[in-house]
Amino acid sequence: MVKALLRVRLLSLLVSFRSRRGKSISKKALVGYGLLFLYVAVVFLALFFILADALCAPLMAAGLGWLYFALMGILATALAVVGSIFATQSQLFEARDNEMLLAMPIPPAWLLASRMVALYLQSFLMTAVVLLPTLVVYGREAAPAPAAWVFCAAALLLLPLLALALASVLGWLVALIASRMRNKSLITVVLSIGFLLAYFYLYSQMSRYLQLLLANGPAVAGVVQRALAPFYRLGLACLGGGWDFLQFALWCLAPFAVVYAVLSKTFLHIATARRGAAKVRYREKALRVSSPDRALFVREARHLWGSPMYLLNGAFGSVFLVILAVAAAIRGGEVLETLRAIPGIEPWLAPAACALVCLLASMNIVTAPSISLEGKGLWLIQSLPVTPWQVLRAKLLLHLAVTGVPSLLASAVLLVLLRPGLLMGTLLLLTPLVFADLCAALGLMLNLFMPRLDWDSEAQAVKRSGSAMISIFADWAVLLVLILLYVLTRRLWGLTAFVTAATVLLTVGAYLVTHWLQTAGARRFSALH
Amino acid sequence: MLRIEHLTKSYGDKKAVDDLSLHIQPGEIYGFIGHNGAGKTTTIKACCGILQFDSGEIYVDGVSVRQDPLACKRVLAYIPDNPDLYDYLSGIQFLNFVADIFQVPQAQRQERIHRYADLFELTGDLAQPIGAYSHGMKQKLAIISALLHEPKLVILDEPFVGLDPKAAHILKTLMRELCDRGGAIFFSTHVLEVAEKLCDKVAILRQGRLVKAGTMDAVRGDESLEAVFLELEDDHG
Repeated sequence: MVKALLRVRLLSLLVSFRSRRGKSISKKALVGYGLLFLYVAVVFLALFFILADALCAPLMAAGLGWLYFALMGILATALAVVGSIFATQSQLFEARDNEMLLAMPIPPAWLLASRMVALYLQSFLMTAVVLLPTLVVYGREAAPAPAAWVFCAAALLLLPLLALALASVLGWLVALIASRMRNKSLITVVLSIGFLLAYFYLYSQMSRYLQLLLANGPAVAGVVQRALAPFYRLGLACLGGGWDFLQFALWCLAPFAVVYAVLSKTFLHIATARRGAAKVRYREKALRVSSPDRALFVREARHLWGSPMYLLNGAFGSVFLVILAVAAAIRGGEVLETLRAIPGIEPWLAPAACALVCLLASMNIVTAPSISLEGKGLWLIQSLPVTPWQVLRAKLLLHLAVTGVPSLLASAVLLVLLRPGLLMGTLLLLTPLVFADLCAALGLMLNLFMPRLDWDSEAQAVKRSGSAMISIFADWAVLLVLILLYVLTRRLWGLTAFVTAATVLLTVGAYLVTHWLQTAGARRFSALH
Repeated sequence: MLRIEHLTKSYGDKKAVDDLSLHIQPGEIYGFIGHNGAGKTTTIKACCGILQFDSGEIYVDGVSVRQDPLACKRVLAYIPDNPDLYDYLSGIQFLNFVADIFQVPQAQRQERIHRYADLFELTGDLAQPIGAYSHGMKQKLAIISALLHEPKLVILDEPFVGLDPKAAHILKTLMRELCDRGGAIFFSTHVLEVAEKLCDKVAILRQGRLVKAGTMDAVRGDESLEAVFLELEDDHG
């Protein structure tokens, strides 16, 4: 029975790679996706390799080899926990097939076990991304005994259990809080932005922390030993300590066993509980009348705001743009002073600022999944007396509103900071808007070529759709082409003249793609079913 | 009100609808029955301008769906069998959205929403997100949204699925009232008893082809509609 459940779990993962109407994805696209995932995996492995490389030798030399493993173990666990919270929330507590399966003669504990296996695999992948480079660097720096290698390999399998136990508890908490909140988007956005800000702060202070760590190794070691016993034992186990390995194994197995036991006993209740925000009483009041175009725009806006998945992934760039504006307003002066010390940098500042705003704006993917997100509700908009272009235009306008406002804010702050000439100042404000327009149109065009309407969760439409992934790369490709164009032709003209020409090019590009959307794109939309 | 002429639609090699011709007059409730996969939903979607068809023509109130789909959509309303609505909107937001699209004046939309929501006992839930609605509630909301602009033609696909008996009775009453005012109803159903009691005319589709059509009395003769349907299935099986 557990095998059957596991098979269904794995199939559901594979099904997300199918295109329309259940047809398998083409070999080319499969290879493309495979290369993309491989690229992402290599980037992460490389990042953690660099970190491990910076830590290993100094800590080993200081006689704190265990601390090296402990710190990397903490990082691996943190990555796995944060990466799995929402997955445990959706797969354990909010899975759509919970009730169907619980109505069958399947013990809840087995159902839970099948879900835990899938989550364990996910947790394992995330810890492996950190621990594999850790072990490679360790193998290079030291000459570990065979026992140490055995314990390291076992630790690689055990640590994800600890991460999974923590993620399960936190996932349950998030599910509980979210179920009581009327505006789920708000909590998701606040949590995610909070995490992002914390991550960026830590990342910006990374080299300082590394230096502090290496300078205060014994003190840090003392803290880890006292307060983070599992990782202390992990460190010693990876150095070959058998007794320490047993204690580490207990630290991993015991919490997981407790969490599993508690969830098994309460799974039926958790999976079928109908918690929700208090019912809102309808109070009749005068309804606001809007034009069809405004109604379509408001519909798009409500969809974006009402869907945490769509909002966070779609408007990611806007968050960065606001952070840029705030950071520039607070610390911009200092950074500028430092930069201006570089000879010959002055003419580059405003164009580089313009490029930065464009780059951040390109991270928004509001239009790229918007056709897919119509999903099974496509019939509704197709049956209403609105033209396909009206529907597409509303999507474009939403992208522009979500991207344009923060772009203008960031550009305005940079404008005040840099005080370029009139022309460059105008371009600093205008070019990102034109670029955002092009990105919006490109995203929509891509989604019309690669719609994914048969999704079960919006995550499939937003995160696992080809158009969303390709649109970011396409936008970056546009920027890259412009930069390359400047590099090849810089003897012909100055920066301001080039940026002017680039803005004109972007405008023409945006016009052409938008024209396609009005004509062939609209026809494509009509033909979707 | 609705004229389908030699409608043909294929999906790859399979003809979903094959040379179908039907004529629905104002004031008629026209039933559309057939086995699963007979082509009913394909026909219905083509009439609503959602599906492009290979050949033939469809006229809604004299206007070609191919040539002026918007004009056709303005006078018709469509309710599918499984109304996937916008989970992220509340009931009242959805109704207001539909009213905006059809440009229903403020006073009329207010009055109609109030009337139909009370009739279907949905008033108390209008502020809730549609995502929290049951299937039946979504069905009721879809029906209310379809009636806001007082369409001349209402096309329904399995309208009674998921409706409680009271709501089903209300829907039948509304359908009759709409037709008495000069409108028309075209709906598909598997519930032949309902079709027998409600429909003025009926068409039976089998594997995309029309096998029988006419007034209810003419089609069923002395037998029940179920018997006629099963007989036709056996004859062509």
